[in-house]
Amino acid sequence: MSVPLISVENLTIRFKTDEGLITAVDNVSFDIQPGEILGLVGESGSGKSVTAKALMRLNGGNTVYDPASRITLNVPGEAPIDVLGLKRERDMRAVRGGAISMIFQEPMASFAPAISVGDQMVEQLMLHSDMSKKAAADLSIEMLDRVGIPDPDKRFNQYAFEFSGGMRQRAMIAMALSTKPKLLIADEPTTALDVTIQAQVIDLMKDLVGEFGMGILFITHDLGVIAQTADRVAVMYLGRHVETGSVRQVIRDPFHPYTRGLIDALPKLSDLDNPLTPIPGDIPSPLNRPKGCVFHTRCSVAIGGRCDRVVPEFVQPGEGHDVACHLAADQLMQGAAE
Amino acid sequence: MAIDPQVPGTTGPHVSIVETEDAVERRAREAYFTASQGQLIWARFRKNRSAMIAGTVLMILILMGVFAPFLSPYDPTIAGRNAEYTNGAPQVPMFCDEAGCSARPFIYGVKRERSLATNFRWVTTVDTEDRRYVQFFVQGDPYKLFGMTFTTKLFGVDEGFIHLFGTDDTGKDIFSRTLHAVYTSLAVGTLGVLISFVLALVIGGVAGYFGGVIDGFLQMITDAVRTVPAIPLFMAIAAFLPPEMSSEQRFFFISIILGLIGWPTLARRVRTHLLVERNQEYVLAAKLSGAGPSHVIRKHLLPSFTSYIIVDLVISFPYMVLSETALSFIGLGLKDPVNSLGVMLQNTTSADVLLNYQWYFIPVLFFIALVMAFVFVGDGLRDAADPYASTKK
Amino acid sequence: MLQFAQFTLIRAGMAVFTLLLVSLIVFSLMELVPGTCAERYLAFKNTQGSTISVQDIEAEKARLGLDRPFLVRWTSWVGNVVFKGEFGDSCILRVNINQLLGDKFLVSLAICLTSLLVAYLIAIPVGIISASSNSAWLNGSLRFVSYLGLAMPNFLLALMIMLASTILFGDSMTGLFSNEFRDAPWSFDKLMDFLSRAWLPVFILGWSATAFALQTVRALMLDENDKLYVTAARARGLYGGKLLWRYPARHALGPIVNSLGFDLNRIFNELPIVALILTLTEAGALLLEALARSNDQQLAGAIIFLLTGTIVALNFFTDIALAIIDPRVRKSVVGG
Repeated sequence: MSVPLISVENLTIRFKTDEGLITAVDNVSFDIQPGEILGLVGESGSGKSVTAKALMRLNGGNTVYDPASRITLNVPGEAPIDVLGLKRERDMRAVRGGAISMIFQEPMASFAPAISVGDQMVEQLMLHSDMSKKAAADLSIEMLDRVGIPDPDKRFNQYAFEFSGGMRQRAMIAMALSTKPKLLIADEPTTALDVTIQAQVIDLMKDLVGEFGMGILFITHDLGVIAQTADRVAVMYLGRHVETGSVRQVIRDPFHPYTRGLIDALPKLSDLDNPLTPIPGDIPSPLNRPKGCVFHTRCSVAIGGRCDRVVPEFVQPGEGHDVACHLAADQLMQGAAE
Repeated sequence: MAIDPQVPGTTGPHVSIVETEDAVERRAREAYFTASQGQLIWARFRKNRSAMIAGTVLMILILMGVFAPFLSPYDPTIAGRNAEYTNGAPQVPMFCDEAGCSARPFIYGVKRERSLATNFRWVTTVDTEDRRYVQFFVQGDPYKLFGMTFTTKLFGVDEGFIHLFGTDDTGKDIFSRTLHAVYTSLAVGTLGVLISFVLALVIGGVAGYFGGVIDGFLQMITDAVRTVPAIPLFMAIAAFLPPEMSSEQRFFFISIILGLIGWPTLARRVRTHLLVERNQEYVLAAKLSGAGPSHVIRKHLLPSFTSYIIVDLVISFPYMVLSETALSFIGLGLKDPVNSLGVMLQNTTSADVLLNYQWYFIPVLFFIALVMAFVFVGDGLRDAADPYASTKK
Repeated sequence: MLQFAQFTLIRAGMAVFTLLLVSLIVFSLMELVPGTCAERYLAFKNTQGSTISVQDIEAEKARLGLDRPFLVRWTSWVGNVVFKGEFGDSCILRVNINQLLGDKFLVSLAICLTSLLVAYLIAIPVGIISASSNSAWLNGSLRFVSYLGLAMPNFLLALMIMLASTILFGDSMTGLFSNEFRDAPWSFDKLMDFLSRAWLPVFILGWSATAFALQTVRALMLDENDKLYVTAARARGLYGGKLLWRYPARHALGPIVNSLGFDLNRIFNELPIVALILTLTEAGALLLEALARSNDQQLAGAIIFLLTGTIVALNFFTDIALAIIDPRVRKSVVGG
């Protein structure tokens, strides 16, 4: 296997709050290869955004990273960067906007309202290259054109509030890609958009990835979007990583009851009479994390005395397919025994 | 160990339920999740150390104000004056002197004399031979508290007077005056806050609930009122008070003026909140069930932000106290027979006091403590009521 | 450009409306005073020894136009103020108010505006730094200073300074001019003398203004710091001072500009009190005199109207300034 672009090992993130230390992400590991799209799936509150922000050290001042956590960024031809080891904001510049760019859920709120879109793009380019202002402006206009914004010359001087929703997100993508990052983090980039615009934006991202050859961490709660977009999927629940595999493996043949629940909760166009089966109950508060397998409180097939006591280890039902579930482990053991 | 009290002595074996540590913890957490808004605010407020200290100081000051007649040894008006000891320095009770120690604290007596030796000026001398012992629960002038008449004071001396904070130019006890002044300032502030609260609720409520043209019109009036500098304007009103007004009338009038100063800010907040809430679905549901505007405002909208209103009231309180002080200070508010902190501060302005009688400034410390305590408590409450404000670093 | 002119006109119209409303409030209050100007003046004459009859009062009322209905008198008062800049005569002193106020009002205004300027010169950098600093010590002490600025009202501070300077220098530092310059016409020396003494009222008025401004700036900065666009800018690699000034600080500027009017209002509130202590001879003191000593309704009304007018004017200018610096407002005004 080639050197991964970014590798996350044993990432544990806690937040200091008035109510005590809250665990948001618990021992999560994954890799992203160059040119690969990894989908990170989970309900809101599952810790997926916090994980993504950790890659760029964007979590707030009350964040505590566990000493065992490690995030390594390998830009081909350069020395690996230990992201969590970066001390000064100045040093983080190489990661932020340089090797990694990020697109946020709300395109409106992620542009500064009183600075023109063009100024923000030029500012970023000049920060990460030794381009002249003129060259940076030309490149920015070209990028706006590439993402399909009509009249890029005029739009360049406008403000985010003058753009439509889909156009803002495309401008955001143009800005994120203009520095030619090696990894793009897209935090629910399509959630705030209309369905038709969603498809447009996803297609655009896929095109650009092929062209630029970068990796994407695509965060969403929508398995349907993942099925269209990603190469591999990682499913998170309550800060814990529960299942990883290729899109085919995870969506066709899910092993974790939570992944299965997510898929069953999706409406199927082929069989509209089939009732939807939502996952029972609500996601527990992070203040009140269940012991053992974090999902046992909502799991219909939980094994009493085991799932609520013992944290499940990862087992591999297939090549590159990891599941953290006692039941899956038992099934595999049986399969091997027979 | 917990045994169900509902079924004592029934047949069958008693099962004592042992709670695991886990369950205790879980219950504590459940209590957190099911706590009412008031309980949550209190829980967060308790963790704020400076606000808790300020809260304690505030409680002490309020109790001091309320029980002023009992705590203060003398009547704060001219009736309780010590003609023998005018502009007298504070007398600090002590346990020991050169003649030995005593378990009961004492002060020295004073003598006033005027003779050839003193150029015929009144001179006060401390007589260290004359010990006066501090007594507790002594009988003093009758006073009224909660509608009943009492004569017992917390402390006094066996003979003569005791003036912890000294006396003023007419011999009135500054300690007694200060306690009563705290009470008056709190009372004026409370009345002022209540008046501005009612005004704000009515005006802001109507503007926020109806919106549209009514809101626009009321906003215009509110903004116009907010542009006029309040103190000069109310100086103008206060100046028109006939000088022969009784001190009670004056007290109420000043409270009303303070209420009129305070309402626009509060009204704005009420309005903004209502504008947001009135489009919520529960309001629509209430309207569809046939509830009228006043019912919806009173039963549905106001309860939705009671805690914020309380916080606003606490926050606006120090401004009331400050305004009272400012008005009294320039001689347009409360006047001398009444004891308010503003009146006490006004007494400190003369050069004579600045240079010779610095103990006049003791009430100033009470004033600062009162205002600071209110500000810290108000801030703590605001942070507690709005947890997202406090997570900002 | 046409739209900008239109916006300015609308704002100006609103300002004029506010002023009219305020003038009505002020005028009505003046009217509520027991006794009219005529009675007051003649009563005053009476104490000087001349005997006054009811006829005299009626004649005086007619002369002053006090027999006309309320609305007519209000209109003519406002008309005189707006079109001629005339406030009429003082009730008691029988002197033209414009003459009486003379440059006193301008001196007051200069002192207040300087205090406001000083307050923001301190509050903006300190507020920005404290809002983005994690230092509990810095934030705690700034908070304490802010609260002290509130709890220690200006007059108290003035008293303390007077006490200190009386003890240290034997001069209580009061008054705006030395004796030799008090009634002299304006000259360079007089200006220098003024400046050498005016710093004290400026300092005292600026004290609590700074405390308030500090809280405003800090709260606004904290608000902006939490917004997604700041995180997004950080994600693009911006950091430190550049991030701070270009993103949260720049966007907090609008509301800060907006709050200037209210800050001036607060300073005006303190002016008469500080004037009283420092025995300043400017408009605040004159107002105090007009109210406390003689119930001179005409003079008091004129001063309050002038103070309010200044605030309305400031609000008008900040509105225009906001439309220029903030593209959101500008674009909605100018279009495009």
